[in-house]
Amino acid sequence: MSASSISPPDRGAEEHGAGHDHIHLPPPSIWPLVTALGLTIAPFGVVSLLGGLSGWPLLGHPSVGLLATLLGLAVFLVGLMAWAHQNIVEKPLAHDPIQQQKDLQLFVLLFLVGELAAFGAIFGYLFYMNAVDPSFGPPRDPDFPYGGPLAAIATFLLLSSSVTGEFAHHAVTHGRFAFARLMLVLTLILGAVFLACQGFEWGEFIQRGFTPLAIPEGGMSSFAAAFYTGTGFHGLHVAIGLVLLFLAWMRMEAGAYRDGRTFSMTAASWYWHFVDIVWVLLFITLYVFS
Amino acid sequence: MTDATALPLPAPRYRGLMDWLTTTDHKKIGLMYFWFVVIMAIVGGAMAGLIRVQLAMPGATVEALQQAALTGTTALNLFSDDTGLFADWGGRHLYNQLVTMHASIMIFFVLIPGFVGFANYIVPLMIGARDMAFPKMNALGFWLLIPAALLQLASFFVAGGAAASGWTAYPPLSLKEFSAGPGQDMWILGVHLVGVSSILAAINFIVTITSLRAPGMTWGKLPLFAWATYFVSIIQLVATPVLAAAVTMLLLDRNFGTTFTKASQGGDPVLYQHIFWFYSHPAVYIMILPGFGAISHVIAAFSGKRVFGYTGMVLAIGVISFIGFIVWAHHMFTVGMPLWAQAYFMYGSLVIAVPTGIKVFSWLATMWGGTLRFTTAMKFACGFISMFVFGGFGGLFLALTPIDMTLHDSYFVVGHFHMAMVGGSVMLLFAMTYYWWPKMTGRMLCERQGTWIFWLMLIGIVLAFMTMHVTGALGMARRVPVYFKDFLILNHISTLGYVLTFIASLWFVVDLVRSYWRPPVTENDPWRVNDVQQSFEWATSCPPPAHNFDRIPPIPILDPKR
Ligand SMILES: [Cu+2]
Repeated sequence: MSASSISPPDRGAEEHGAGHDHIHLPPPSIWPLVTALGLTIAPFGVVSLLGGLSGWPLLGHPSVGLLATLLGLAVFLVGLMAWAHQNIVEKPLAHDPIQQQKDLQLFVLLFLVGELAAFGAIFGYLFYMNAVDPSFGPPRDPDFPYGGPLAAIATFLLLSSSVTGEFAHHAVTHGRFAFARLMLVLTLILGAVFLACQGFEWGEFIQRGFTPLAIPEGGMSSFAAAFYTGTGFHGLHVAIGLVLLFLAWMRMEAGAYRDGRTFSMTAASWYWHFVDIVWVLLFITLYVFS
Repeated sequence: MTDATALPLPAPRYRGLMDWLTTTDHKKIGLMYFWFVVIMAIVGGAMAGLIRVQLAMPGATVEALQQAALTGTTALNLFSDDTGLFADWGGRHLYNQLVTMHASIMIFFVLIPGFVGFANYIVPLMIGARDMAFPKMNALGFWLLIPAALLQLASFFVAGGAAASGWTAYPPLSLKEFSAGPGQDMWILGVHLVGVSSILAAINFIVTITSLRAPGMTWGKLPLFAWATYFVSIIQLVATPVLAAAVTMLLLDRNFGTTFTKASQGGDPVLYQHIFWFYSHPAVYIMILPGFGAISHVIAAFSGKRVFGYTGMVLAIGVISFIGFIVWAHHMFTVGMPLWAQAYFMYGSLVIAVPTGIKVFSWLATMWGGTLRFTTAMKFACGFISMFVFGGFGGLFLALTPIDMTLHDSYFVVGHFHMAMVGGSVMLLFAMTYYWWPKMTGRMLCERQGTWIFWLMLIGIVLAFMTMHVTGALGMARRVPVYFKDFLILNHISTLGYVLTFIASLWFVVDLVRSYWRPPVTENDPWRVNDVQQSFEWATSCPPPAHNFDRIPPIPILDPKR
């Protein structure tokens, strides 16, 4: 029998001294239910929108389906925002702020592992198809601007934004908010320009007949599906990353990081690095190998 | 340390229904998981009942149908297209829907959330935590199961009915050409929601176990159920997004004209199978490994001994979790893989028998020389070991490529995984319920009825699923509602077995409900587990207070290795 005995689960009470001598329990919250309610309404709306619920009362009309989809998304977003707000308000209640920050950071890392697995399926698709099917690939026409300078410039911009993002993160954790503001704005601009480049490239491709459903010269269109899904899914993540960085900026301007608890900034910057790494992998598989 | 009983507790803000709707308490969420799973199990079990009734009908044989066609009479058959009882509801198409949805419901809404629910209730108690690391996210994880289940169940009431392409949703069967109705799309969206729920729960468990363990509870002292939950959470986190990606390809191919899986336009349906099984082989571990951890506690408790080979048990779970990711294609031996790939996936799959064997022998060694108490939980634990070993051996047969070539898509496969999932996972869930129910509700389940329920279950499983191995080896195809006359007796036996398990399950649910009217359990530790073990969850009241422990249990943690 080992001699170690058990001390209370509230480590915070022990390690961080007085002022925490009550049992901290998570307060009840309606927002998880509201968020889930949004995700109940929206998919039924989507099915109705696709014409699937004909014969049902109300939802039988695709127009009602569109409304339900939008309503569901709105309820979902309201739920998430109220949830975030509640967490911010409750923050001082937490027992052990340092541990809480660490837990949240681990949460973000694990979330990104899950995201990476989702992207992994797309990479798996590309690698497998490249290996088994010689006809799998981008448009063959040498004049087709696939993998041209635009993609390289966009990649360079996104990589630089990762550097500026890290500068911003570093500045925030060291309390240099003026510099952080500059770097954040720069990061946001670089990211937005990357998205614009991507959109421009898509537009050009689609004009020349390389659409999500087809490849010019009658090639096999499975590459088109993978290309647009991969870059589109990544672009969606860039957009979400921009929103997160913007929110972190707003939090900074509201003075939320003065106490050294910079979790939301850290999360946004990790997310941004992740988006960057995934892009490098995508760039290599889509443009270099194909 | 201050005396915790004097500490002010925050008053609950809501009462009644609102209390449950707004709860962030891992114990309440765990109980909601439990009852959700019970309801879904009855729904899924009833679907299995319709399938089994059809297969026991004398009119379900090819010969009877031919005879009926020749003589102009009708064969007694639920699902034949013209004269069947369900002809107006889709006939054989309805049978396909039932097969698909029975599997989907049992996998996504019974087996996976069943263990998540128990882990929710028990793991924070076991590691001496007040709650999960992210209590609100925990609640969201549960609530998302309800829209997921609603979507999949509501799809029975749309044009064309529910998804009917099997729970594997292989293209091209699941594409618009063959599954035109919106049921398949609703199935996909439901899978997405289940996936989000799974991922949220997984992240929550990993963070909780990493960071909320009571001081002194090092990784080397972490209870086995917590270890199993930890590994399973890693599997869930890495595998589930891949499933989401696979079904998203289907959704796009079905509705927006992309060609991921359309062979005619450069896509590859076999690649879909690879991606799908990359999730779904690990998923069978999501459906059983947590129980592997839990059953160690049950066996140790009723053997009056400590767990044998703690380190080996932890490593075995870890190794199974890892190898589980690299053997997926043993489900696809018949699609025409290169020989080296077949050999690799065969040997890889066989390797899993080694850590699994370590676990089985450690359970037996835990019992060896112990003071055995055959409570209902212990009976189910022993039933689990015997049934699961049988199911595992069936798996060894199927892992051998040449044998699988002949047994593929036969009832042998159905027998194998039902032996593993019902004889394994469901027996585990029963054992865990009998063991932890007094902790979760403060009421005992009836031991005498439990004995009846156990024997009914065990005999039912043997009759239903062992028989299927024979039926399949003789050549009966799965997923088809008609068969040759030679299989009639075997199918009658399987259906009789089904009836016994269904009666046992309903009886069990009745006892669960009735237990709420029994006198409350007054002791912390009605099974006397802590005489030998010192496990945190038995060191607080039944059920525990909202804050779990007034003060951390005044017992030293024994080194679980001894
Ligand atoms: Cu498998």
